[in-house]
Amino acid sequence: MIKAEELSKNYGQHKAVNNISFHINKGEIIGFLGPNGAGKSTTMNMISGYLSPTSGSISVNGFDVTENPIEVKKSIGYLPEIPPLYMDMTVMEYLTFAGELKKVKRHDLKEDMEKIMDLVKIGDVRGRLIKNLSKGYKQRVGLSQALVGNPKLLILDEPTVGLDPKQIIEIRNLIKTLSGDHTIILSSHILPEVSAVCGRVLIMNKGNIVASDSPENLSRRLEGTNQLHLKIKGEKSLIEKAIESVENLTNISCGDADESGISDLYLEAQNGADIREEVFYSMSRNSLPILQMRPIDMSLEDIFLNLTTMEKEA
Amino acid sequence: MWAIFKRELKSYYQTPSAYIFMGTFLLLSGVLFTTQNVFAMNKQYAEFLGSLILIFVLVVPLLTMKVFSEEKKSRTDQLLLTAPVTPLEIVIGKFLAPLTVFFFTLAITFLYPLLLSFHGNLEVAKIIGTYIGFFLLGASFITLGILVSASTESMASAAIISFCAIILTWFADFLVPIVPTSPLTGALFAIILIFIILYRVYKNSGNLVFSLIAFAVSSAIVAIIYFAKAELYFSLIAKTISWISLTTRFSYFPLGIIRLADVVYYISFSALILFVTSQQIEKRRWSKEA
Repeated sequence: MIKAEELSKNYGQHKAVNNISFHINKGEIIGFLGPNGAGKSTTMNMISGYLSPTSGSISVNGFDVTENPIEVKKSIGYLPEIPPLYMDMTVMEYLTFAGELKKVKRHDLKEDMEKIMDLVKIGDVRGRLIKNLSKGYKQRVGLSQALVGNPKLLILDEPTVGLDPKQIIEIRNLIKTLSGDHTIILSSHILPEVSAVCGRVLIMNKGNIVASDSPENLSRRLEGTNQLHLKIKGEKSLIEKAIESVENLTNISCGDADESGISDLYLEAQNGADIREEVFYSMSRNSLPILQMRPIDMSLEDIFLNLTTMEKEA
Repeated sequence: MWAIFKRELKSYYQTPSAYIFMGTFLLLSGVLFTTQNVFAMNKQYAEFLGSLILIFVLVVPLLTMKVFSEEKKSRTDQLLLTAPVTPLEIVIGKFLAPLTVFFFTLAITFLYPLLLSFHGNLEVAKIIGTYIGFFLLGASFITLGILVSASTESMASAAIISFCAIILTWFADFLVPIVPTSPLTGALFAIILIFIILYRVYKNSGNLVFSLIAFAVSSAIVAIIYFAKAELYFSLIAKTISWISLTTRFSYFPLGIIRLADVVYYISFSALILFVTSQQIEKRRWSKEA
């Protein structure tokens, strides 16, 4: 549905987006993830036609954004980073305006608006001036604006900013329900959000895409090694001796036993090898009780930090 | 386009801006009318209307200052520019709204000649002519204000700069008699103009070689024409300046004479400025700044 090729955007000397390419298929939910200034918003602005790329091309549904902007814009609902709200309008007036701007037929628009206000739960403030609404409500009005006209592609730049935890979950669920016949691109710097909602994650840093995969695959790929964290009752020297019999170990690090005689042990095994059973039996042979054994899963957070700091070192 | 027009017009009347504009204009014109026509028992209404231009020059920035600058500030331009409308449609929609406010205001002043008509015969042709001229002139002023508003980010600077721009077209009248008229200065003026245009081209495209060659070629043409037919350059500066003078074209309307050339001039001036404005908006997408 979206095809971006060798996309760049320069602001003077600064390269906000640096030669990135990606494809997004119909019906996908894509998360753009990255620290501030990674180029997420710039990329989204380019897809929506608000900014033009310095070089490269984007096509949406086969239409080029620069050559055929009107066709592209017809199929996009866009919620920018700062919701584009007219403060002197009421919610109803604003949504009507957005609908008319998108050339939604008058008859359909009424029905459409009722449905959206229901979905986003802003029906109770419909008659109020936007400037008097709280930040969460403003954000939701911005989101409803993107939904008006039922566009096939939704671009949501940090859609849950300013919402309380309950609303965040509601919006996430809303995004999931929309996912059926919509293609959705959302950006965030909140990691659990992306992993909860998105089928695929594009991690951006300093204008580059550093990784693109499903959240699960990303964790698996970056783990590389299997790590175990153990708490064992016993002396450090005894534990170290006992662990030597275990095969396939690549790295052992052992914390000192604290006062109660419990040591922390970190084990790294070769890829694919499951060492848990072996560790258990070797400890049991040496009468060293295992109080806790926990595989260390790399969370998206770790991956994110890993990728974005790796970039820095490189 | 109509959606934008409707929204803009509504916002004029939901915020104080239209009331400030209409209030100021109608108060000042009312005072002038009372003193010059009513108390002086003068039925020369067309002349009075002509003198209103000065007041209009003062208040037109009030009408246009927020048109685009406010959108940029509140980021609502993102909504417009990502909607399926072209920049030209946006500009026209935004132009029609202040034009309508202006039209209403002008319609209210129609009460004045009505009042006078009870007390004597009025020169209807003159009055209608002046109204048509006034409307066209006002439309041109409004487009200027919109262009300035699209190029600035704060309402205050938009107001001040559009005021200056409008005053400048006014002052052009006074400059015409004093600029040098000799063919040589005319030719030099042409070269300077070419230089400015090509410098803009160079700045926007970054193509130095093309700009230099184009400058050399066109300067040579200017020089050849100068040696072949110098009288073409006679009072070129004055002609150019009077082209931007919006008020010179107004002078026939109060006489009740509607010249096609004047009408075409005002309409094409407005159309050109609106087109430039839409290009200005289009250009922002390519901007090198965040």
